[in-house]
Amino acid sequence: MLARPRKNSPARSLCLAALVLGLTAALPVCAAAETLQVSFTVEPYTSLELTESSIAFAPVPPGSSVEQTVQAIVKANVTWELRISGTQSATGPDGSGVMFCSRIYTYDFLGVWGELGTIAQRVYVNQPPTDDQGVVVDIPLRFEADFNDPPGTYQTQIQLTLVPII
Amino acid sequence: MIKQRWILCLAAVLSLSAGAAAAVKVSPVVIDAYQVEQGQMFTVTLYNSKAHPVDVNLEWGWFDLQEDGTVVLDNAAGQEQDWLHLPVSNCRLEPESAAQIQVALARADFTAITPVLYINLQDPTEPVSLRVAVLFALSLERPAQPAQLEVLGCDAANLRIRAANPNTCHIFFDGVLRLYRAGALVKEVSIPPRLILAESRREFSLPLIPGADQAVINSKTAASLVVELATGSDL
Repeated sequence: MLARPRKNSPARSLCLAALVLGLTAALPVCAAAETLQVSFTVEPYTSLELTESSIAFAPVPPGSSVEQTVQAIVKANVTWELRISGTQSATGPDGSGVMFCSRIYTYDFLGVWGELGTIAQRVYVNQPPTDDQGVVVDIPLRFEADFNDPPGTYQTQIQLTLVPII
Repeated sequence: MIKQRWILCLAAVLSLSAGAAAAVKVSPVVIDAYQVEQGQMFTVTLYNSKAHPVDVNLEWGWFDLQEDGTVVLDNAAGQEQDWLHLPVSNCRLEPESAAQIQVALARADFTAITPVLYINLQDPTEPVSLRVAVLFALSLERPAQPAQLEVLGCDAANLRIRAANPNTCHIFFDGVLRLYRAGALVKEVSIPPRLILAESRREFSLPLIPGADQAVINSKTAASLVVELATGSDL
């Protein structure tokens, strides 16, 4: 197929001249372009998430112990530490608040079973920053039933604290 | 009697109740500032990535740093905590949304303080409660003097140093460790920023490589330190 011949109209010539003039005028501006300093700040960030919605120790007779693991996902762009603490108060079998004598222990960063109390146990220390997927951490727990607690089901709470290390 | 009690206790169970898995995202988790002034605002952003609302409780405490860098948390904030003002102590995070917590400096009659803001996920039915610590390092002044470095010892793998901050403000120590062998640079290691509280000290362990005979530490916040490693034994 043959290309249709183009006509040179006065309007087209004017546009072309304007374009050339514009480019010529813009040339010194382009030549004088400067670099631009761009600054930005990445904030220190942490995220803590549980992988399971419930935890239950298997029934155990007093004087015996049973183990269970809590899993959490940590995401951080700073060095971090994970601590765990507990309490000796619980909701007893009849739904009332009680103090229990049984003990919950966690396996701390030194490889020792430490009792959960108001003073937090350090389970992970000086952990490096993670990627955006985070890291799954296992927190081993051991429940040791005590003779002084009447039989029944108790509910208590433990607390995980994520601490940035700076 | 004892046997009977033992049998009764056979059924003893410790159960942690069921609930929806919790999550909390916080940024920033470290807030440091020099020359703070009354009325200055700091913003902490909380984000709930879950499909259900999350109630959050905010509490103050203090933190301290041991020389090895361990963060010591003190849960009980005293009266002096009124240096910082929180507009709310509880808030609800709607599903997949963020909330900004504005912390105002109510007073500035201190030289340097280290409060910690605890972000607690508040749900008594949850078996495990989650808490994130936000560390504040606030100073009234800027550092006037460099930190002083001293060598504590070294072995084949590590150089242990101590940095002392003589200032009445908190500082961040960072810099570069350069390792030389026979005058030639063989390795350069970046030292990430580490907080040294006002008028206190902190110890660090820096990596060495076999064969290096000299280590030089350069920092904008500390005096330079040159360590001869030729003997390889404790200095």
